[in-house]
Amino acid sequence: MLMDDPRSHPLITHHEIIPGHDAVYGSLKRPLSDLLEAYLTARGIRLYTHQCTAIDEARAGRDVILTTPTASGKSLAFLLPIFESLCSGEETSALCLYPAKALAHDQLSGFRALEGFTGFPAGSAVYDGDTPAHLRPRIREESRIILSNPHELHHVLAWHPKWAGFFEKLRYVVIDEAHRYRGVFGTHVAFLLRRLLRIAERHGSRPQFILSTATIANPGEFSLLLTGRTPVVIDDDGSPRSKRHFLLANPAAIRGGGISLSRAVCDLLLASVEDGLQTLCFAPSRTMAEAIARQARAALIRNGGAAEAIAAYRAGYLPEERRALEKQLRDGSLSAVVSTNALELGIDVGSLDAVIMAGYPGSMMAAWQQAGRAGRRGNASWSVLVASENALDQYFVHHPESFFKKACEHAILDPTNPYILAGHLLCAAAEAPLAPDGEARFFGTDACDAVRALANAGILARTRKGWAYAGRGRATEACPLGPASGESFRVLCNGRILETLDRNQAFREAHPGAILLHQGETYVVTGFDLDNHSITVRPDETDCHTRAHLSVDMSVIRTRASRTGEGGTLCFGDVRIIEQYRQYQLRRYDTVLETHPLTLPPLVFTTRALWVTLPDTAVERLSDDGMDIAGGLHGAEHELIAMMPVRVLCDRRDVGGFSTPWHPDTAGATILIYDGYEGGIGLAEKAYSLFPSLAGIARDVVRDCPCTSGCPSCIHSPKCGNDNRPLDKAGTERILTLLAGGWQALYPDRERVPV
Amino acid sequence: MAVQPVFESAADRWGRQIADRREYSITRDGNVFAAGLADTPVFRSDYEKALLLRDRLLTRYRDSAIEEVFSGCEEETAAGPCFVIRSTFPVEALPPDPDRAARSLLSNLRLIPGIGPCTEAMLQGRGYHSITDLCRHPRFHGHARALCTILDRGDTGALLRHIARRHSASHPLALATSGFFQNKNLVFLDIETLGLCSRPVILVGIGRLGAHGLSVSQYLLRDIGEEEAALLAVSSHFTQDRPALVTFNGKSFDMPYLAGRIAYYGYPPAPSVPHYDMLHFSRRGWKGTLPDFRLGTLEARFCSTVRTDDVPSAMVPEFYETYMRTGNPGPLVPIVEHNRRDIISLARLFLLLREDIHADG
Repeated sequence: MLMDDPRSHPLITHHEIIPGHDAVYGSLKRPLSDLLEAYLTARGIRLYTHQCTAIDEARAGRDVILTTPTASGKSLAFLLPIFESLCSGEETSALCLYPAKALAHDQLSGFRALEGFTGFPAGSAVYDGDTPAHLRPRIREESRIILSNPHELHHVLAWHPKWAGFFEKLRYVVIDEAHRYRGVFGTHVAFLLRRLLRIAERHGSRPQFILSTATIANPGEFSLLLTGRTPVVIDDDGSPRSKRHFLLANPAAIRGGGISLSRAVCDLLLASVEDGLQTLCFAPSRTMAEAIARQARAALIRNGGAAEAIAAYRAGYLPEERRALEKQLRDGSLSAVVSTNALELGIDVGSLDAVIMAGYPGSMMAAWQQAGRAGRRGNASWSVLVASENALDQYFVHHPESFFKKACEHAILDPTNPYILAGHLLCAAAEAPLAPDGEARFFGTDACDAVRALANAGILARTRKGWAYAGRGRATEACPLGPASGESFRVLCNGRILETLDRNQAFREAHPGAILLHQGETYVVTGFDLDNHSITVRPDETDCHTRAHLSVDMSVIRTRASRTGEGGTLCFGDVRIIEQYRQYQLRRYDTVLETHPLTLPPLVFTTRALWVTLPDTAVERLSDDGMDIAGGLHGAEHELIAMMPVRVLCDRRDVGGFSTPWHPDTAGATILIYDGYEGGIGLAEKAYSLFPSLAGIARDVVRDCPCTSGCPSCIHSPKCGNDNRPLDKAGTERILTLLAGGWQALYPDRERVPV
Repeated sequence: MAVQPVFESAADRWGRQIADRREYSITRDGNVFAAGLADTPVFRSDYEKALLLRDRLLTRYRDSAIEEVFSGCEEETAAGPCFVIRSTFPVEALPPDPDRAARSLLSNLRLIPGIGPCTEAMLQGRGYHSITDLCRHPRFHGHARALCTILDRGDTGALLRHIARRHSASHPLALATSGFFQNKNLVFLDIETLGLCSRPVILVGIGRLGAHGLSVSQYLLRDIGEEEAALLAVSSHFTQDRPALVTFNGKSFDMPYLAGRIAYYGYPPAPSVPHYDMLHFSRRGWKGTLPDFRLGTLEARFCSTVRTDDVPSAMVPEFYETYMRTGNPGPLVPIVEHNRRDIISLARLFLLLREDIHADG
């Protein structure tokens, strides 16, 4: 039995027990109205401490960010103040933003329930791209609570005169699942919210923000970046938690060369089911999810069980199919569901006994959200992370303490990105004339320069009341809430748009001949039209993947911050990057099947980067000791990038790297890490402030990896443009050790770079 | 003070991105099917002709000032001066016949709530031939008197709302109510813009009927900074006594657009005036007899005019942008001409349909 003695199972390398705690109830500074008290009593609800704090602060008119876990009653913490204000006859309206349409629809019932109980006709309604035209005027004019998403708000703001009644009263802006607004998308949303505040001000209102987010390391800072205002951070979870068992498993540690990830997951899934635990399993792709389900069913049949007890689940299921599955889970006829990670996104199959993750899902936040699916009220829950062979996964299985102690990352976005700023200034100028200074109090001090540049380009025109948008096409369509690199490529499958990619993504993931992964499904690229920005694909079930090889060159434009220490000179600033994809490999797992050349034009963009130039003496000592300097730098670059997601919430593909024994702009051996988006999105900036600790983690991985000359679990990078050559593991360790101790005087987490 | 280079580069990128945008699609000549599918189709030959025209104009009007090309004058408003081009065209207009309009309305028993075709026939059988007669009816006298009061008060706005509720906004009776307005109070309006929404109006054409025919005032923006003044000057046409507005597709486009621009500059919404949208009346009147209901098609059919050197409506924004970019007023010439023709055709169409309604009535 796996769960009786987990450590005895050959796959399990670590067993962490996270103790539960009882509910901690709180009391409000001022009691709720009798009606709302009656509502809570009728529902058998007693408010937890964090809910009370949130309500007290919201009542006091302060901005709030709630970071307590899923199912801790976050919605109630904003529903109650909104309804209290409405029912007391105040002229209030509330806008609730959800990252996805489906989430807004799921949440509507909570609002309707309170409306029903209190009898207050708030007209709660979802207003999004699917709202029929004939219902829209009435919602605009009569609803006091509107549930929507950022994309819709982006277009609605230009029509603000029609929304005058709503914006005049706007008092609450609720941002649910705020952690979704990070990186490029988050930066867009940050500017969108500034536009919202600006329009609200024109209508005489100053709404307060209520944010909720999954656990992140920097809720206060994140909230400030996103909304421009400092909130009260509420993280003292008062909701009851049951005991949680968290296991780490490492298929690579099995004697005799290890076993495959899917095989390991299948074994654990069967063990879990045999223990009588209803289990949810997350896999990175649909092919893997189906392979696991297939293997597990076959094993069940061999043991005399019923194959129907295990189902595979993918994105794009119809609501009826979803409901049937949920029903089977509830009545117990289904013991396990294997899903792609897509299931994590807002689809609710309820809570189960155990969760198995095939590979680290990319962020600590996602890992804890997936693990959070295990745990029925009162029972202990089980979560298993099965490590893949890549460096980050291996780091966690070898350093379990880093997984359990530093259980969250910094969520990052960059409201100084000049490109995204300029795009949103255009939208703002289309909504209402923009004051000559670019309304710096909303858009920051750079807005003034950006506005002048846009006026020089003839896109903004001077009027008596301020700058007016005078470009062609809608500003909101020219500047969509998407990636910043502008020119987007459409991916077409059978004449239908599958998704849109920015230029970088298109070149990297959907180049001619590429195998494109979309929501766990695989497609092969059959056409790539550079002029019309369209890519055609056809569905293709395969276990192969492609890897495009990138060569990078860079030049330094401007250094914004720097410090010198034993590790050399560490800089942060603006750089010009030239990326070119010259060839790609077709691979099955780690075997290269074919290599093909690519003829794509180079991508040239300006972005922000951190770079470190090693002291000449250190470089000399390295070669004196017989180490390869280029190989050491290259390995250090890989490892630093691989470890970025440990501290900063990003995908390793969001950042790029470059290393060279000598560069004319730095006059020395240099490692550079840059944001992969035009203008930068704050990742390199954050990494600059955390650099010594980042280098320390990277050094630990290299030092603790049992391989002799580098492997995929340490310094090999899956996106390396030079096929992981040259690499020198000893040199890498030496360089990372130097960097980890190079700037002792830094107080990483307190520092913010002036940009 | 120099702008940081990174912002120059950002502005340049947005500039390119925006220049790539079009709100129309070019379709192969004669490909009516594709033309029907595209939001705003422009046939390739028209597109190419327009580009040639633009280049010709750029050559012809190089080094000309806008004031030399158009014989306009400045009109002072609370928001500064705006530029207006005035012209007059011979348009024959019969005087309206308010009595006839009133008769048409009163003879339509179904304007009274509760009266459908059956009740109407029954009432007519019993000698009730007009709403005036119904004022004595035991059941319908209340509504009948109320409607007569509206009619006596001359509240055409209320009448139009009533007709829209009982029949539809494009019912011939709605157009018949235009007979209550003197010709001189009719305001024919057509706008040209930089796009489909949230961008400046660059030209507002207003037509008014007078003793010498149709006087057209065209408020043309010499630069975007004059938009506010032009909007105020246009609004002044709606402030004198009892005006009525006549547009082509103005209910969906021109008026919401103007309202949006007025709100953009922070003004309260203008009071609404009775509005006759000729697109709706034409559709209803000539359903099935015309390939489409563009003003150009109607004009060719009923006014027998053919336009030369025209700019397709969808291409107006890029013609104006060429002017903004180069300062060469050449590309404005066909925009002003296009708008002027639209106003004239609109007035003719209105007068034609108003007579038709009376003929039917």
